[in-house]
Amino acid sequence: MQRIRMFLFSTALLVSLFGMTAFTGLSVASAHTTQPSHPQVTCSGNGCDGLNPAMTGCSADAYTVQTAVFSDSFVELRYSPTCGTNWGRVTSKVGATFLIISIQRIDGLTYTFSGGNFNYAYVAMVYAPQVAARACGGVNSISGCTAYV
Amino acid sequence: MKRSLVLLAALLLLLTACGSSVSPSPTSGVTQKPTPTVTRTHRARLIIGAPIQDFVSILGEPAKVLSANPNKVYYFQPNPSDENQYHYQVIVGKGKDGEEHISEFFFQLWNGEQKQVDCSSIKADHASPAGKTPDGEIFISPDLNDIFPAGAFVDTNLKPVEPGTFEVISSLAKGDPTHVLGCHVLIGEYILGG
Repeated sequence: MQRIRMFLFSTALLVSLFGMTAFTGLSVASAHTTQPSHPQVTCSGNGCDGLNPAMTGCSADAYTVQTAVFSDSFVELRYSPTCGTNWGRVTSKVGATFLIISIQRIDGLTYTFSGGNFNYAYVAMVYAPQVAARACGGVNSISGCTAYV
Repeated sequence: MKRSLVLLAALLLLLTACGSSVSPSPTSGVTQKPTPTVTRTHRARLIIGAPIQDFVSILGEPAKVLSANPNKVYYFQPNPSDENQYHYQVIVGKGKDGEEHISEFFFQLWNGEQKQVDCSSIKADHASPAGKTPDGEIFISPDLNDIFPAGAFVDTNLKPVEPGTFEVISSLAKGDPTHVLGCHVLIGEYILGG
């Protein structure tokens, strides 16, 4: 009888140990698979319209889609795959100066930023994952635009 | 026995004499074949640091040139259906030789072109990786150091960086970040937010 008890106790111990190991393994695996692959952002969809790409986190995974080059500056159309938003960025080639940059969605939604003494500047976002947008800008005035992309 | 020794010595002397006659020393009066002179022919390429003439000889005359204020910009291959798009937008700087060399250029596909662009082909020769920025990859090339004066190598804030430094940044498709649509390559470093 004592042997049977001992056997049952050992079996229970083994099962519970195996179960814990399996659970731990599962939780580690799920922790790996649920790690966020996108940056944390504080807006989505049309709710991103008019918001700052850096403050919302949208610029964390952003890249340039198109660039227009001028003698004293160049203008980039930026895109965030996480937020589905476009915005414009202008870079001075003459040091800190007055810059102007705007983003234009093809349906007419437009935002503009201008200000003095910057090496580069960027403007608010438009939600445009499926519709085209372009960026326009320059030093002191708008020198030109990227293509609509 | 003595005779054999004398014969052997004579034979050895003869052999030594023969050997010296077929291997002329550099100071001997034997006429040497003229060594072929190596003339390095310049091959035009579309890479950072190339002379602007290379771009013109490969791409043809520029569609537009902006005068230097402060940068001279050449535009090549305009998109016939969109005046804002060019395949090549090229900024030149003055090299140590006083000539115009490519200090920064952009290659980008026109809207609708589906090719995959390979940005590694526009790097300067003998480039070694030197780090990454949020936007691109940094390299250092002794060739670029030979072409441009040290003061030409600066970052976006006009701070000096190591001479020979250049950066390569890829432009990606809006709906597909794995699709490379263009390249931006510049001497110095490009460090921006936003």
